Amino acid sequence: MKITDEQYEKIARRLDGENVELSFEEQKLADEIRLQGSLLGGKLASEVPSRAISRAKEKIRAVLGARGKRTIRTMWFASAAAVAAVIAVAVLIYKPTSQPDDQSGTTLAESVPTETVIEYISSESLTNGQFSAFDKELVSFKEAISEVFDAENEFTDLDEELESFWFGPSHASQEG
Amino acid sequence: MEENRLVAAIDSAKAGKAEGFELLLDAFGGRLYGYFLRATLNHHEAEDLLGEISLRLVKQLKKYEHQGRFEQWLFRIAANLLRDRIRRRKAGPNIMSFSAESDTGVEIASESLADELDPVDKNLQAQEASSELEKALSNLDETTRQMVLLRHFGSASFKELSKMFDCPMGTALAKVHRGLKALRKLMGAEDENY
Repeated sequence: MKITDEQYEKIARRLDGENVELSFEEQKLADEIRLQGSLLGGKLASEVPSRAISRAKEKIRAVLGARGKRTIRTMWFASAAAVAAVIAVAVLIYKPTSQPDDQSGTTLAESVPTETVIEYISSESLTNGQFSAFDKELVSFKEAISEVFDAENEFTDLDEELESFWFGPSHASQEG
Repeated sequence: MEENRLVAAIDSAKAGKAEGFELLLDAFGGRLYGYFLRATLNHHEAEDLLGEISLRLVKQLKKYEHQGRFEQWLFRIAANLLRDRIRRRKAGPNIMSFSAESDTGVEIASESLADELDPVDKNLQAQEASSELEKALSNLDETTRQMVLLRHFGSASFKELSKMFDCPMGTALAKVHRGLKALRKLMGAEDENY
């Protein structure tokens, strides 16, 4: 029986469940393929060592565990960075407004509204000493933030190394 | 696995719960192992590949959208994993391709993973390939063997096979047909009707 490519295509669609009309010969071949498949099926089945499944489960648990720890760490660092930023901004606002005013002896907190503090900082009335104070605060704020992010980056690097160990070819070749 | 249990297991796994992945492994691990074993003819390779696909599952499940074809999706990953493994083992200019084929479905060029194993593995493989079925499988060309195995273990449709191996559906069917016939011949169980 000579089967053309078009006929094979029709039979394939029929075996995939499509509603395709087949000729007697095509139907015979479709039945034959189905039968061959089921006859071979029983022979292909193999016993699965429980160790293989257990090891696969262990790997999954290890990767999920590492991911969970990383998520918690990231959230912790994000919170710490946010708190540090709030504290730094509060200090920046508080310090210049707490300097005594030259003329009245009152503090800037009393004489300058908080909403216009940024405008005040950029005004000419700010003394060199006040600029220095700002600079110091900015530097210490940047250092604090960079320390937090450096630590986070180190953890991220470690996590990436761990992931590449599990997912990368080196691990596969070690076990392979 | 029933559909509602499968959906629950997928959802649980997507939420990052180990229990979800374990349910999926319990349901499909056996067939995945069988597929890897019959494709590589080596228990150690099969076990290693099962571990590796579990990790790929963790990585790729978040992208999966369930439309009732989880098994086929999973075995597509398995087929890609196997292909990657073969490529890595080759690591040379003659990269093995799934499109390697012969007209008869019987392997001409030695391009299977089984041929890339080191001598120790080859000894093990020789012991493991003692059954007639394994010998018969090892005589099929890589593409035909993959198609037959994916159809059996992964319930792959001919449409999926044609996409996976980049060939017309008719060609996929012809290969599976020839492969099944060759297997039965090589196993000494030829049906006189064909």
